[in-house]
Amino acid sequence: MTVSAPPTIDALVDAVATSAPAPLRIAGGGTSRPRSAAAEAPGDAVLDLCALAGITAYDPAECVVTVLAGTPVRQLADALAAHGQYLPWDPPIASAEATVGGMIATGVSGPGRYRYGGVRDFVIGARVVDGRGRLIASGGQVVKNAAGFLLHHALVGSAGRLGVIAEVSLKVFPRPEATRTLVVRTGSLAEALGAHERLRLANLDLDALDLDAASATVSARLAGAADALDARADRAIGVAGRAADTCTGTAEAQHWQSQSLASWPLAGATVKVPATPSGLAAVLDTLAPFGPCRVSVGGAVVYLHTPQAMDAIDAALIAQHRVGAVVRGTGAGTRLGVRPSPAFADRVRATLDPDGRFR
Amino acid sequence: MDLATALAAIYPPDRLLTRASALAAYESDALTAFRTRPRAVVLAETRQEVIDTVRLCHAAGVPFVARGSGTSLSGGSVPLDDGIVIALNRLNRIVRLDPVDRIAVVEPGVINLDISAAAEPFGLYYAPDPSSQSVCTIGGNVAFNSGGAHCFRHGMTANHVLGLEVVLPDGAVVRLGGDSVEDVGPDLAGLFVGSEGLFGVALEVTVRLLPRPESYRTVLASYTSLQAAGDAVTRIIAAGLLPGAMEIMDRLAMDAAEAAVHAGYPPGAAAVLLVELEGDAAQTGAELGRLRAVLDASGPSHIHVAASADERALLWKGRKCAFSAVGRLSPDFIVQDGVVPRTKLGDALVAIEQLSRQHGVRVANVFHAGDGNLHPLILYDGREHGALERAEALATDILRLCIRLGGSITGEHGVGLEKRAFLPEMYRPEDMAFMQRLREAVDGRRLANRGKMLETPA
Ligand SMILES: Cc1cc2nc3c(=O)[nH]c(=O)nc-3n(C[C@H](O)[C@H](O)[C@H](O)COP(=O)(O)OP(=O)(O)OC[C@H]3O[C@@H](n4cnc5c(N)ncnc54)[C@H](O)[C@@H]3O)c2cc1C
Ligand SMILES: Cc1cc2nc3c(=O)[nH]c(=O)nc-3n(C[C@H](O)[C@H](O)[C@H](O)COP(=O)(O)OP(=O)(O)OC[C@H]3O[C@@H](n4cnc5c(N)ncnc54)[C@H](O)[C@@H]3O)c2cc1C
Repeated sequence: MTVSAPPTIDALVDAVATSAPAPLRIAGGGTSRPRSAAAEAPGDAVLDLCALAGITAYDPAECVVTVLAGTPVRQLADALAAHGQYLPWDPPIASAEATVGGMIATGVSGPGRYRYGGVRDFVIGARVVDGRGRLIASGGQVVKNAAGFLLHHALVGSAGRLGVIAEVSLKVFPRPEATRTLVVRTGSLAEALGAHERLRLANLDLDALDLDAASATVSARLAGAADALDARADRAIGVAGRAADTCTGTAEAQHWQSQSLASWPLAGATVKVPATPSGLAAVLDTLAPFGPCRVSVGGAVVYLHTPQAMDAIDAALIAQHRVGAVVRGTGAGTRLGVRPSPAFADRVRATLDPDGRFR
Repeated sequence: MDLATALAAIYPPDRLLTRASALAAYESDALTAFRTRPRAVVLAETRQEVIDTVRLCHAAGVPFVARGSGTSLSGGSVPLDDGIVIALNRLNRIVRLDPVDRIAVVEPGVINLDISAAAEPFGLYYAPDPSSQSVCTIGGNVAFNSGGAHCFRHGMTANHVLGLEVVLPDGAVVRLGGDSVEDVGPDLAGLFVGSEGLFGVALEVTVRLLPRPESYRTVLASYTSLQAAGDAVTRIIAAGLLPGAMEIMDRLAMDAAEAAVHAGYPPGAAAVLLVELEGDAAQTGAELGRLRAVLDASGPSHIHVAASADERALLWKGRKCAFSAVGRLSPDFIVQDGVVPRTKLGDALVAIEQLSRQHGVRVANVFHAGDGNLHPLILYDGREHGALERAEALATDILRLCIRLGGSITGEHGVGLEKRAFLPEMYRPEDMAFMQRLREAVDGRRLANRGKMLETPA
């Protein structure tokens, strides 16, 4: 097994080309699963992207940033924050080592996706190295662009199977002036689901809406002009129909951290199941036997933390006609539930990885 | 069995057009400079008919092009003379509109605005709003990743399509994406969007619906120069505001719009900037104060806040009809579509003015300023000798300007036939080679919309 950590895109292109025909494993920050010798066969070539780091271009007035794939997400977030901007999909960056490439490859969005969309909605261009060491660019550095195939869209969620993401361009937004979070603690899951649904359907312009099933707690975040937040919070509390605590600042950040996957132990596995609000109760019913569940993005996704093997979960999801994936821990990257029709996916993959090197 | 006989077995005679007079309407799209009479047009009414037609074409090696309403401005729906047109206008059912999950599942021939009309009773709407939204279809929008006035904040069509059912060029039927805004695996629906019909025909589209903002605050600011209007946009973003839309029109475009709808644009101004805030009423109220302060400092000659919903509607009506209204100023015009980084809008406008003088061709400017999307309307009189050539030369110069400034040759109208030659100026040979390989992998016989976006290799 050889490991290389190319510091430039040229070196990356070279590393992919010269290691042919060895199978390739792409490693970002390793936060979805620790790199393990067990998974890596002796003949594999490991590409460690962490050295390919840095912000290539950032003009705050443009609201566009171009960044190398190995850049830690936190470093990017800090650079944006210095200019009053942010990644609106709110990637879970608690773990400082997660990289921008890993974020794109796993297609991960946080609770903030609720308002303006997820990582897929903000990637406007990319440079990627295919399985034969060819550098391919798609999109660009402007927020509106309809020229050519939009390959950068397909990289979102590609899990390292379509190519090595070398660099991406992202649209970013001005950070809201202030935020405030309502925490609604209810007595039962049914009650929590009721409050969640009322908050979702009222026209409150919420920034985030999550639900923790185990503690029957609903969290709703408001974001915007500081002088409008009192009025907006009062309205939201009225809609929640229950006593709600509000928090801001450090307490607010801590609260969201406590609701994130970071609060679940690394042991075991975290499973992601895309959902719809009307099917939410059924998805929770299906998953609850396997471990604690959290709902994020206003019911669009359920996360399950489980120590169990995946077979039963896989079967349960198939029975419900749902898709899923392991996103953290043992078996991270494994697809679960209904498998998509392969005809189109296979052709895209064969184009980018004709020799089947990406593992 | 030959193709004609096989098609006749699927379609009754009134839905299989082969006579010259019937085919005429399908020879071109909204870019009328390109015109070709197809071998036949089929008017599909069911998904299965589309699938069967694609399979027949594949078996016979005959190229086909899907067609929505034919409003493409890049020649995207122009057929080949030996090809088949699959017209999808009658495949226009809204299969499901779910106000709880806030999604709509629609057939490809559904008109963009009809989705919002159906969603309206539930306080929802479909966000992408091309100016042609009252006629263009969702299938066409998917093919071109169509935009509109709200793309900086809300994104383009790709950001609103959650799932697709597609018949690939060899007749295989696949589902891409799903019914949730979250997904696992590569975003293949996002790759299909913008593929200009080269990856096959979309049979069903699942889109997300947004709640109608509780309030809008619409402000019109006028300026004595185009550049000042462009600079104001940069100041608004720098102030941390995130308006739903920012649109600029120059004098010529305003005159045209005024003549058509009397929108009340101020006489004498060189440019107007239309800014719209949207969202929670308390929030937009607070933002309006900040916006006023920014605009006041941007040197406007006049600022006007729409006082009523009717006034807002009128300001927008003027903007949305600007393209067609320009027809009143000039017998012929080319709608150009290019993108520059937003901070280079001012430079781009100055350069376009210079080019316009240089070529001796008038240009009216209407654009989506929030996302740097220029729509210069190049005016000419086709009866005048050499006028079309001069207009086209100017259009070409504007595209090269966009590339030079780090932008794109199209923000929303697509490459189609019109801009095929420019795509390789924007991308490197390696990138073009990849696009060709991907196309070949999906459609080895190059039957789906052959001749568009990518030049056919010799
Ligand atoms: C605290 C915490 C919270 C999390 N919360 C969530 C959550 O809410 N939702 C969720 O879905 N996930 C969540 N995750 C999982 C998270 O998405 C991943 O851990 C993270 O995005 C992976 O980034 P990484 O740089 O560590 O990549 P790695 O873990 O190293 O790699 C992840 C995958 O991406 C591929 N990859 C990495 N870099 C590249 C590249 N440059 N080009 C191509 N492929 C590449 C790898 O091959 C691998 O398949 C969480 C993880 C942590 C630690
Ligand atoms: C006055 C005017 C204003 C306009 N304003 C805007 C604007 O603001 N923003 C904007 O983005 N565009 C605008 N357009 C351009 C045009 O309306 C859009 O490109 C629209 O999406 C085309 O839709 P259509 O139904 O007319 O498609 P068509 O013109 O029929 O087809 C367009 C392309 O889509 C393909 N296609 C159609 N249906 C399918 C399908 N089901 N599956 C696969 N491929 C398919 C066709 O093959 C063709 O390549 C404007 C056009 C006009 C005439």
